[in-house]
Amino acid sequence: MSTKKQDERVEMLQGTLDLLILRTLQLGRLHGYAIAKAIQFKSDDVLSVEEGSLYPALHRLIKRGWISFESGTSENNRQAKFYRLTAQGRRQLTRETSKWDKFAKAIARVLRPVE
Amino acid sequence: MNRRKRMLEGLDEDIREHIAERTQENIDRGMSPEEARFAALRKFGNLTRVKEDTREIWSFVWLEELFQDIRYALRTLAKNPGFTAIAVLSLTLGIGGTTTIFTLVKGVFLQSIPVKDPSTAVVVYSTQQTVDGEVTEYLQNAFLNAKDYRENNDAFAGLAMFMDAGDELEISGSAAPIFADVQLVNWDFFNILGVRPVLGRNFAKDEDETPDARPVVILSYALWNTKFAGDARIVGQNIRLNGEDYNVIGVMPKEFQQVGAIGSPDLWAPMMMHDQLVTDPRKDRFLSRRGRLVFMVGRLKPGVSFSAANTSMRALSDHLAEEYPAENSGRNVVMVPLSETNVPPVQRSLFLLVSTLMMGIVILVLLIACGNVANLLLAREMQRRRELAIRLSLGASRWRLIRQLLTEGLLLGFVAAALGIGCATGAIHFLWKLLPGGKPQGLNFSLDGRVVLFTLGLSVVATLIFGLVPSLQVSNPRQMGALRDRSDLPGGGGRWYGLRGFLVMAQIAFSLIALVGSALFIHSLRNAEQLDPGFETKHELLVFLDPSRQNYPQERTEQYYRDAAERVRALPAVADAGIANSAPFDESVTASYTTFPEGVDTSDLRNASQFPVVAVGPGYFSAAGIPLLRGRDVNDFDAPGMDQVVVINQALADRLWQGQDPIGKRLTCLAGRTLQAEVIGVVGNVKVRTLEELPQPILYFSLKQMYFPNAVLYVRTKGDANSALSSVRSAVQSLDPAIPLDRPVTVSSLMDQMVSGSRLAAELLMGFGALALLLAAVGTYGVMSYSVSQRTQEIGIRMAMGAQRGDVLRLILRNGMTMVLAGVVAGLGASVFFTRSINSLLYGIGSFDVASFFAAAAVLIAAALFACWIPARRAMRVDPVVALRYE
Repeated sequence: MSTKKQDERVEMLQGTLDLLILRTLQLGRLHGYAIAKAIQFKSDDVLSVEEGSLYPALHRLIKRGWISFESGTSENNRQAKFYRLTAQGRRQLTRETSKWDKFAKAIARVLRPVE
Repeated sequence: MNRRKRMLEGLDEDIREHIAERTQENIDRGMSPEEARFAALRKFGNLTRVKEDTREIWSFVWLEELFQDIRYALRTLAKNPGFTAIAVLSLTLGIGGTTTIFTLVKGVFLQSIPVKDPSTAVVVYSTQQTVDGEVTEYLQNAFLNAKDYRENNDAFAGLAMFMDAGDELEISGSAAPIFADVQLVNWDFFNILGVRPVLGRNFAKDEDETPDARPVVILSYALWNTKFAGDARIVGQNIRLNGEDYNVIGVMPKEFQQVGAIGSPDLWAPMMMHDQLVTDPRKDRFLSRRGRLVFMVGRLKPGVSFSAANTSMRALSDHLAEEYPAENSGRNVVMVPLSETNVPPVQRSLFLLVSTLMMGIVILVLLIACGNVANLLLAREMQRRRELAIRLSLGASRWRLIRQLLTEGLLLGFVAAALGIGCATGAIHFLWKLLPGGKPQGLNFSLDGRVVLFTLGLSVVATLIFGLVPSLQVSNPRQMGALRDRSDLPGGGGRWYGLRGFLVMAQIAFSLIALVGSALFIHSLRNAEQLDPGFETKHELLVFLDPSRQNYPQERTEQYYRDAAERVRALPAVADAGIANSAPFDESVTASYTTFPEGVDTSDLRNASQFPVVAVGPGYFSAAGIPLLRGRDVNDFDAPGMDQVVVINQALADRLWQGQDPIGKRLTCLAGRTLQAEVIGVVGNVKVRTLEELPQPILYFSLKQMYFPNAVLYVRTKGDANSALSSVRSAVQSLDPAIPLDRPVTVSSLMDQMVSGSRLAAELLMGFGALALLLAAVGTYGVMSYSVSQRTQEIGIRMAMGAQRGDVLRLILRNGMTMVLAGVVAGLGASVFFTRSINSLLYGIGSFDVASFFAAAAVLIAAALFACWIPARRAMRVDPVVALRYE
């Protein structure tokens, strides 16, 4: 079992997941489970990640200061933490989104030349 | 931190909630409650992993891992007490020994001098070249010459003279009389050194201008504290020194003692008071340029380098030699930084050599110890291959594993270092007490951080290097073969023991070098102890007579000497008694005179030689056991006013009148005044300064013609010298009970003292050699033992194929001893190379002394053989059935 390649894959996935979370929170505050569902829903179940990996991602984003949290109650009257974007997080999202767009466009041009 | 706490607090709950919600959704979709929960959990993933990963985000990962590593290392070390004990002990001894020796050496050589800017303070000595080309260094300068240097140099911001007044002078007054050492200095002496008094003031310029004009003194702290009760009111008062009143103007600070060549005088007086304060014969030649009286200490001008100052001063010397050819020809100067005069410059190179030798050997011991630790670590890591392989396959990072192995090594190192330093502290004090007398007081032996750091660094680096290599090897994930329980791994079988074998060879080589060093020293010491010093040693006593303490005038003193000798001669236990002015090997009293043989031009100093001088009474030679070879002894008819008579020894006769009869020849000596002397006898050679010296020429004058206020009574006893001590003492004491009498000493105890320094060095070296041997033997045993356990299978096969027990024994022994002998050969080669540099320390043997090399090698091979024997016997006892079963 080579650990190096696995580390790389994990890192890539981490970055993508972080981005997805930020995007999901762009529209408002959500609690943990809701975020998981939103990602799953939005991506048509394509990007199915282990749900558990959501939590380290959330903590990572908090540590970096891109999202913040507060305690509250969900629709089902359950205690939960609610997460939302910070201004910094918003800026990061814009940056990353434009990077992805460029990336996607480049891939598209390669895959479907002369459109 | 707050965030962290809040986040982590709710984590379990958050996750529970998440799963609960998913479960509910599944139920809503139609699953049964158990199925729903199951599905939710599966979708969530590894709960533990998620929690760990999340927590990791917030932790100082490296710190927690470090603590984990340390705890694990401690557990592992505790589980193998044998291994840990040997490793820690080896390292402790190595680190302790190195720290001890290094600190001692540093304390002696690098003692800080309590002056300002010690690096620019320089002591200036005079040198004399004689007609045969020999140059004697580190002599005093003549007063007038020194004055010229002081006034005409351009290299020093200030250059001051200092000289010891000579005899101890009495400070009388209310309390009991005290005898003090006085040092005469120029007025700017303390200013040049940058030292300010702690009370009062320094000398002023006008106090050093006119002879005898201003009787002032500055007290040392020690004298002030002990004899003047530390009373600050002493400043401004008078004390009575040598019969005259002196005004105390200041007290020097406590740290101003042991100042290199300056020493620790009790008080200082201006140079211009020399007439009153110098009471020995030097008094009369104070203003003669031929005499030798003062040393100088100077402060280099800013920007002037040591070598530039040297050149400039030597140019001045040449100029002085031109201007005063009669007195100064062949004279020059030599400069030594003040900080290097802790050890008298004459002995400095000897001390340096011995220190280097000690340090070298002790580093060898340390390296051997590190080798042991490394070997042990290596062995264990081999044994843990399985465990490590499993951990690797479970996903542990290789780097983490290596770090863990290294932590163990470091932990060992630190524990050993702490213990070693503890031992060193004790050892340092113990060793210092053991050193022979005459050692300076107040040396700083506190542990220097640099020394500790160096030894620690050395051991850590050595251990790490050898711990790292196998760590890298072992943690290589491609070595999956370790999971299969095979013992034919590299480094385990066969004749070549790999890295571990190489380490052991190095250890053997190092310990051989250490042993050879010890053997050489011991051999040299035995030679020195058997030397004949030229006088009687076994049945000889010395009594120190000091009638000047009671202020006896000259005639009464001489009578005292005669009476003492007579009274002692009358004792039944005594065979003979005689007087001389100095005891053997007494450095401080050995005067020497500039001597011209008859028929040479006495105005040119280069025609003269410096010969040690002893003044003796009649019967001295027979009492001391020195044979009279030709002519006659001095007798009572050689009185003052008549021609000076002199007895010379064989070495002097050979030096000046080789092949001729020296009786009747004449000499001219400069001894304050100029003496003309006639040779009346020749006696055998004796050792003057050291046991190993070549025969020294000596002049023996008659005490009656050359007065000395104190003397030594030599007593030859009929039986055991020790038993006569008290009767001799009471006989002399009865002459005048008021004269304090030091306890008589036997000459054999004096001789013991002479070699005690070398003896201590030899014992130390022997101790370190033994230590090196022990550690190397332990290392050898370790490797052999491990190898045998690894080769159990092979041995079983051999035995099953018909090998006898004896064959197995021989096989193992042969393998082991090949390794050992390789090390011995390497060690011998290295020894030949290294011991050349200590040739000058050895007496009677060259550095390639076959006996020593042979002895060292023999001892080492014997020990190593024993170390190989034990595991070999174990191999012999292997039961082939059991061995083969372990496939």
